[in-house]
Amino acid sequence: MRKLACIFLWFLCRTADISAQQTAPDSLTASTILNEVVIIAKTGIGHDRQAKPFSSIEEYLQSAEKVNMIKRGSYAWEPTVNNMTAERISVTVDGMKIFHACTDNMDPVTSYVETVNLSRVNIGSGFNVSPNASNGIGGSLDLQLNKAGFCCEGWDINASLGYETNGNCRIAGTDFAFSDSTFYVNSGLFHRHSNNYRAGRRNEIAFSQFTKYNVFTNAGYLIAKKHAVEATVIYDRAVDAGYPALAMDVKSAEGLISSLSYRRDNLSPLIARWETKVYFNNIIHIMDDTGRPDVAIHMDMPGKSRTGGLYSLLEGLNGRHRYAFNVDAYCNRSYAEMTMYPSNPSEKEMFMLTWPDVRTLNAGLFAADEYRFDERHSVRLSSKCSFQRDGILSDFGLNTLRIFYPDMNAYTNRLVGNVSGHYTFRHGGWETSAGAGYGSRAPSLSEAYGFYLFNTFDAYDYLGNPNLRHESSVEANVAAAWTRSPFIVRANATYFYFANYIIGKPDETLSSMTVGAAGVKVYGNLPHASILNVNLSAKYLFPEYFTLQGRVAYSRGRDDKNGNLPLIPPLSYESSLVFAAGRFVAEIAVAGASRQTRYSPEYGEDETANYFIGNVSIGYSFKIDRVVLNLKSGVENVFDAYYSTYADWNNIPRKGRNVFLNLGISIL
Amino acid sequence: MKRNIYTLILWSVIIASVAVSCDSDDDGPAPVENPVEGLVKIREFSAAGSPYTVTLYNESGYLQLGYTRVYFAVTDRDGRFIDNAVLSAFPEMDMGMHKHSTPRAEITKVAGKALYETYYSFLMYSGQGNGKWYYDLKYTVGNVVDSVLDAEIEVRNVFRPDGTTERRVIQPLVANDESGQTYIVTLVEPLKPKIGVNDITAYIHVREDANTFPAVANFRLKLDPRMPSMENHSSPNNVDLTWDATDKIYRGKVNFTMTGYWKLNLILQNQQGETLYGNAVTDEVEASSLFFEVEF
Repeated sequence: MRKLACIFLWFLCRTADISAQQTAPDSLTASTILNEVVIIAKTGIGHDRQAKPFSSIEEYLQSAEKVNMIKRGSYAWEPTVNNMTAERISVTVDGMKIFHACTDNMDPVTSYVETVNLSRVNIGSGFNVSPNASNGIGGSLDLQLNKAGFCCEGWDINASLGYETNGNCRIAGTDFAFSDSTFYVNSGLFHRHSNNYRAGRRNEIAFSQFTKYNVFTNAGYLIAKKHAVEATVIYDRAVDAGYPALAMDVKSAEGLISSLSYRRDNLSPLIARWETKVYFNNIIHIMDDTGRPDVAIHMDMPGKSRTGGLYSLLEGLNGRHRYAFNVDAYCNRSYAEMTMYPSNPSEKEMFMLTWPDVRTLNAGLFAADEYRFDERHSVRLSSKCSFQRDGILSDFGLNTLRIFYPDMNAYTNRLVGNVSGHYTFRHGGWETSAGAGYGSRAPSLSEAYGFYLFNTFDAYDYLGNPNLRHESSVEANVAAAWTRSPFIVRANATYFYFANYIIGKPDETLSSMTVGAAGVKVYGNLPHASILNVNLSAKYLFPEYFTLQGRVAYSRGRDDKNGNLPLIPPLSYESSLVFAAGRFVAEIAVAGASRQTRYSPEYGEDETANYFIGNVSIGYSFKIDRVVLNLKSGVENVFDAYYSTYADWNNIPRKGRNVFLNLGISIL
Repeated sequence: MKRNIYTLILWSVIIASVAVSCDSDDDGPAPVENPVEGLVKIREFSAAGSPYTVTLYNESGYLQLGYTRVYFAVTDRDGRFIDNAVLSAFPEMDMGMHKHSTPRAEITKVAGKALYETYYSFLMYSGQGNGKWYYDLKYTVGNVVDSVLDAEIEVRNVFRPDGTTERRVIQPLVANDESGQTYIVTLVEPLKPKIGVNDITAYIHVREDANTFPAVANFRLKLDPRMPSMENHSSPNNVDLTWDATDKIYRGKVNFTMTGYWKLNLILQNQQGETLYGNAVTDEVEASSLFFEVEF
């Protein structure tokens, strides 16, 4: 028993660290202080400044300025970038394309990884996105894996333990890393389990439980000097995940992510890095409503999404140029079906394909170059062009859609792409930039081929439209940062003007299928629409111990008739005061939003009240021999406010007061 | 890629078999085609002492309520198929107190085959109202005229897939106009319903007397398919059934968006577009008084 306990302690967790901070990590990424990166893990323990290190990946992402989270419960929040969701943004894991398998967006790609898998998330905005982003019009999230790398000799062993009172949430994980100059491997497992959480004033939210397991291994081998081969396997499984805002829960959501890559460093004076990767991932998502009371009709809704692909990315420096070229290709197959069991047991079950075995082939070319005129001025140009062929493999599915679109072809060929330019000026304490871009995207799987997908938000059945025109956007952005000790002030604004904006519109001639549905919406193109995002932030560094920071964000989304687009946040703000002295850190934070007056009733929104919440945390890390212990504790939603935000599906209230305790143990 | 390979293999097989069959054509006389290939025997009729036997066939091997297509093969004592016979038949249901026949067509020869065909719209199944179906068959080959009288035939009821609930496939109705005529509407297709667009066909007969039911032309059946178990939802782009003068049948399109139980609500209209029977489906009225059922 003692031995077991020892083994348990022996495994320990890496420290995680986040700051929605601006870093310029390596010379090859064209990072400036205006680009956003979410740091999740960092080697070494002293850097830990995250209030709650074992937060979910969603909680980490939430802290980023450009990212908001749509919540349907306490599991698998859906990220938005520039207030755009999955069909307009590109989410990749280490450059790999992964597509969710749930027709109702219950499993965003980010739900198939754990914080322990990741080192950081690169956030792209507009068309200034990761080279592997395809069909992204609003931005990109590239989740970078946490690889031990060839650098540090020896072993690194971590364990993570966490407990949260709200939902009786338990977190446990272990991982280890071994590396030397020619070989590395890091591997771990992670488990989270939560019961139903309580919203403010102790209201229990039924069906908000979840359990999640994650296992991963990364390995690398230097077959010769500068020739590295790397492999990754992640297996992630969520079971019994509740979605209180929806009519269904999830029995299991399973993801297998794998890749093999070959990297050449310093290939020539002109090519600093050349990486080629092949990958495959398989997502299986099984919905379940058997636990729900008063279900008019029980339904089985399994979904599958498989993606295989490759990319080859070349980066280099030459004089004043810093460039990147990428070629990528992937093939995705997505299939979702629905079986409904009538209340009369002698009646045959009703069956249909909601994603009719859709195959998407996509191949793209990307090029970017940053040219530095001098210390002050630089310009970056980038472009991506992709060919896409998508269509329906199932005759069953094709026949169904041909009821609505008699002349539709099984396959469609598309060409999409973007161009963008960015100018940056740096001088003294100033860094300013302005950029513009133009690009287009193909309709998403659900937008083109989805069949009677019920949206609980506006209570409409959604029907895909294979005849949609491509959506395009002109984007313009300006940003400025001013640093003058002890002040840092930043501001940025991004404006998107869309043509052929894709959104569902009611079709009165169609009859809704789902029990309780208000009608059927068919995806169509609006002539135009626009989204504006403005962020302001400031930081004040006290001479000693204290840092004060604050942030205000404002967004506006309008359709062609000047109506409001759905899921656009009202004015929101947050502020924190951090005290750090040696191994002790403490933080008081507040966050809130004004009343949401610009909502979209057409898309099921109603007015959301303003809210204000407070969080406090303290942390202490100490070292006993070779063991570093990192203890963090805090209270979230101190005032136990009962609230929901604009992004809470069907106004599902958020967590009430929550006391957490995180213990990270590292053996150096 | 895989599909291409399959296509390639398929083509190879086709080419090879064509080549082989071309060869065999040269070897001897073409084999005699069996006209009842793929059909299932229902029963035989043979008048005492007749040199010919008439065998009743169809796809399922039994007669059933509503639309039933049947085929007749006439064979001599050596089992040779006769292709110059003339047949007529009269089905009659004996319900004790009264007797009646059912809507039907003439028996005609199937082009190019030694086979004859007709259809019945059986109004009742055997045993319904304690009735029994009897069949009179008359056949003429050359100068041989023979007939079989009062042969009992079995007409089965039609059930939904659960095997116990009756499925509505035929509906007699009394028109709501001053004529007060009785019409019989029979669903023919879809015989094998599938997801997507289906052909739907139906017959309309008018009852002149208990034994005479001529087909009615140029009426219209307005169609509204619904799924009662799913909010009574409908499907779009269905096509009403209108008269096809060539095939002498009412023809339209019905669209099924999913498998399951569908109620095909109909409104019967005459040549002038006046409604004779049936009603529109609304939020309050779940079904028409004229409907058929399809479940798959």
